[in-house]
Amino acid sequence: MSRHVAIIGAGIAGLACGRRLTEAGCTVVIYERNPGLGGRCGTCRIDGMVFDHGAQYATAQSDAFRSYLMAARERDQAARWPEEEHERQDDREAYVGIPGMSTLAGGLAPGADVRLKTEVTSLLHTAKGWAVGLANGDAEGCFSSVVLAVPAPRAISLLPEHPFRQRLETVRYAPCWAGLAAFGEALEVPDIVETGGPIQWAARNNSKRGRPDVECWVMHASVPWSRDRLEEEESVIALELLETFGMQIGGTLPQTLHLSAHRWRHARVEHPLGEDFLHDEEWGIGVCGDGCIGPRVESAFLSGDALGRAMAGGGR
Amino acid sequence: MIGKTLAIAMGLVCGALLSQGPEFVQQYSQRLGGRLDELRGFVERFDRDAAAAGLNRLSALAEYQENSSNFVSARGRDAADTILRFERYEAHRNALREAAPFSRLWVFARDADGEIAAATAEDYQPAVPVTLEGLAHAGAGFGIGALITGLFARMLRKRRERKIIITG
Repeated sequence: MSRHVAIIGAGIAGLACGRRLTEAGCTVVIYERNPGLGGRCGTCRIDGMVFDHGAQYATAQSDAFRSYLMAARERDQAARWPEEEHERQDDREAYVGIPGMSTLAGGLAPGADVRLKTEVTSLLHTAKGWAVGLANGDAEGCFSSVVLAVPAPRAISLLPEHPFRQRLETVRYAPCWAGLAAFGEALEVPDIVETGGPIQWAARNNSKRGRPDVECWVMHASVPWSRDRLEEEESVIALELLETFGMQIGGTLPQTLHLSAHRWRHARVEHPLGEDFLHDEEWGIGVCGDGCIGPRVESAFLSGDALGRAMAGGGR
Repeated sequence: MIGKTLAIAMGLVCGALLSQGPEFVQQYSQRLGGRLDELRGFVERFDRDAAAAGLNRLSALAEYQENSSNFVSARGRDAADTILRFERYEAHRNALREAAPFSRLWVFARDADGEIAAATAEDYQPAVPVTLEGLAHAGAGFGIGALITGLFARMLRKRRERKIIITG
């Protein structure tokens, strides 16, 4: 069993894996290059405004994830959303984190050693174990195992020569531009706007429990629209998304208090690996995330949790 | 013999040209910095006025965009063009600064602003490559020029030999 483990990525998968390993008595260090937890299940906080700019909600098909969500709900860290009935494609109860989606990730990591704003730029495998190279030039180690809980392209860039690289090259993602806008007045539209236009989904973020009472909207552009404009500047995209949103809801928008955009290069898994995780016990490498199973928050949780169990139990 | 001489000559020419790459990028960067300084004043004033109104940069631009007056929205478009140009220049300048010495030329080629590059070329002052970067580019240029010329000369020689066999 691994004793000293480095996990790259503090999203749902990495934290779920870390939780299992910590429970099994391992010493776990989690490296995250962003300033907050959650990865694509993250929350953006700007001047008192809150935007869940990635995953909008989570649903549960498995008992394990349902138990996790219910426990979070008991702790008042999760709530149903919307409170009233709304038809969704998967037609399941949806939950959001309180006060932000990132709380669903944070709930997996109380007391964990998470190094935020710490980017891992290289991994070195030696006879003694793994050394982790950081963006500031430092190196940390020695770890007996490394877990890559990041999108497949990033995992490939960090992996040394190993068969997992070829396996991960089959994973495909769709990008998504997210627009974040706050308005001086409430818009006269429902909390969720789903259309077939360039903005495929827009939601009133302050309709989720625990958010400040500021009219905050998150707009997710469609995959084709996002793909066509993936390398455009954020400012250009933000203005275009706002204009498009106004046209799609067919009304004049009130004064815009905040506007920004976020580029998700690997927003949604289109072609997953088809396995719960990857684990090479001899090398001490593990890979987990939604890229293994499929495009849902629950998939990331199950993948990370399963890898953590396997590594703790000495399996696969 | 002629082929070898030609390859060496082309190598020297390409080496001389490529050795100027780092110096050209350096002079381009200085001009880019100047353009940034010209635009910075406008952008800082705009940001200050937006903040005073409780807006961020983009939401202030959106205000112009949403305005029904053609005059106001046209001024907004001008402001947006200026600000977006500033952001593009700033991103390019940062990319050049952060690039490793031997990849700076690639970063320049990828994102160069045509107008600034043309202005740089007009006033360009060649320099003797005294840095490791310049010398390395000179060496690479020599190698590439000599190799391409050598290959080309070999192709021509083979064609001439085939012709002689056929007609001989």
